[in-house]
Amino acid sequence: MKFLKKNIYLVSLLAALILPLIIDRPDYLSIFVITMIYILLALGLNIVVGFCGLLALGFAAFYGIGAYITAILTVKYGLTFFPVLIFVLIGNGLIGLLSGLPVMRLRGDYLAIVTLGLGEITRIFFNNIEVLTNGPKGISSIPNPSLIWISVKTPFSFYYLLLVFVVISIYFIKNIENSRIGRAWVAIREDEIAASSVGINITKMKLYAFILGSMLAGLAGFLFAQFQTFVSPDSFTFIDSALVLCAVVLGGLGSVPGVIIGSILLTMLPELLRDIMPGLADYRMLFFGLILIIMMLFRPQGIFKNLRRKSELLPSSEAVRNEEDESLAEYRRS
Amino acid sequence: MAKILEVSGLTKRFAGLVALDKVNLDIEKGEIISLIGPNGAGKTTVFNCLTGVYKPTGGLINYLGKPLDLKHHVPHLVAKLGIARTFQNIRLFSNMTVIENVMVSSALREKTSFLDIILHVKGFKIREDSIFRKSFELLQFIGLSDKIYHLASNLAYGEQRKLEIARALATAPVLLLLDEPAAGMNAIETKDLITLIRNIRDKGITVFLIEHDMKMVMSISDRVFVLNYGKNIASGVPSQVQKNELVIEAYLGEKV
Repeated sequence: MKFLKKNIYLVSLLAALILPLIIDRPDYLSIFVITMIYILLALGLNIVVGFCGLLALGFAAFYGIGAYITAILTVKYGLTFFPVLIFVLIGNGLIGLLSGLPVMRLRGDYLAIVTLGLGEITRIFFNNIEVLTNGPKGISSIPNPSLIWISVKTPFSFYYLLLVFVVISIYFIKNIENSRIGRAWVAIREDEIAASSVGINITKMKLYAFILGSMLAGLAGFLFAQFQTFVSPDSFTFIDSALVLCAVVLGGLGSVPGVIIGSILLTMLPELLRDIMPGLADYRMLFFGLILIIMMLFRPQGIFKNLRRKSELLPSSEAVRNEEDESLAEYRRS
Repeated sequence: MAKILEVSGLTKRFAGLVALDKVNLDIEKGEIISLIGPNGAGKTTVFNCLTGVYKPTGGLINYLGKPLDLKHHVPHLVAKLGIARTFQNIRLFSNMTVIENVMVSSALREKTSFLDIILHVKGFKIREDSIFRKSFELLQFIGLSDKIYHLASNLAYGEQRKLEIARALATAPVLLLLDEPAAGMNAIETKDLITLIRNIRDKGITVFLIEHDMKMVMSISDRVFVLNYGKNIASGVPSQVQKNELVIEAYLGEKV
């Protein structure tokens, strides 16, 4: 048990490595691939909401931008895997920066509403800029990736491709979490004024969170587009943003293993339901809603409670501190 | 003696309300200075103006002989310059451990590059260890080294105040601003605090504090500044200030 606890990541990796050898069914493997895409998304959103405490609602926009960059560059310009990957990371990083700049002064509810708006604007943009995105019809026949000499076509090979990206992402995120940047994010979430008083550049750190979150979502979109070979605005709606947020909250805000478990539950449960009781699958949104309500009532910290993390979703009621926060807002406006 | 801080004509207006009206202060290196005054006199506003939480409406702040650029006067740059503070209402990172609270600020003087961080190179480990060690030493100095893995919110009230001081010290300040450090402490804790503040001064850090506990103010301060309604009304060594008519009036009301 102790060994398991200490090497949780190693054990999970081994399990993930042999899983396709045990369950070699393309339909199941496809679900696993989608699950890992959601893990990437949830890891990205967790940086913004979980670590930094910025409740961003339009996260699917970043996902969509990554997917559309991939679709356009591969279909229209014939670029291959690695060049497109670089474009997606840079493009999404810039988008994260640009969308981060105007929302830096906002917190809590206001931030949520503005990011929700940005998310919808992006989706409508996909719908209406036909020259670039082909409108509601979407972009189809996106080529499967070919890496130097291996062509990734089957769910089996996609599974391993995704696994590589998930592992690298987790490694980087864990490293950042246990560094001055990770501590600064949590400090900002806990108390912005105190964080700035010990020398943390709040704007810069929040932008880092937005940029990294956006890059991870872009990576997820990049892989999604090539796996589905088709993108349309329908894949990047508010419901998709809500689902990712759901996974993060369910798993445990700010906890990397937590959000992984959260994403696995939220992507696999509906599929299991479909197998057991086919009629029930249509009600999955209802189930997600119920799960969230139950979690918020009985375990607001998520399945994996991260001791040092507090949910930004819980309002602090200390009137005096709020007063001081007001005064901070005053200085930022001036 | 070298002046660390010279404030002249510091004014802060909030939409019609004059919170500070041409306040003057001067602090020399190695002093312990107190700022006192009745509630609402503007003491915390002085701290907020000094640390960049507020932008002063007018006045000059000379720090280490040079005027501060009040256009770019923001808290994180002030911290870098060597002015650290604590808060009247404790503002710890409550869901981080005691050591993490201090490590957050120790990192100010130990910059690691982004590439080092994501790749965890050897240099990163060395710096991270040094951040940890420095933070631990500070907690030893402050007397919390046996609780480094406790959550900050689980500490007793007096310990939380101490942790705030440790966190401020971790930025390696020249000038330490303490906003009512003894508030809510009992007599024994206050006595410990006085010793602690003297020890901090002996490390070469100048201390500027706001305090309501007059016994403490009178025993610890080299000099005292008194504010009322945002204006200087008196300053000097404690014994002078105690006898000052204006000060007595401010605290007890006018003579009938």
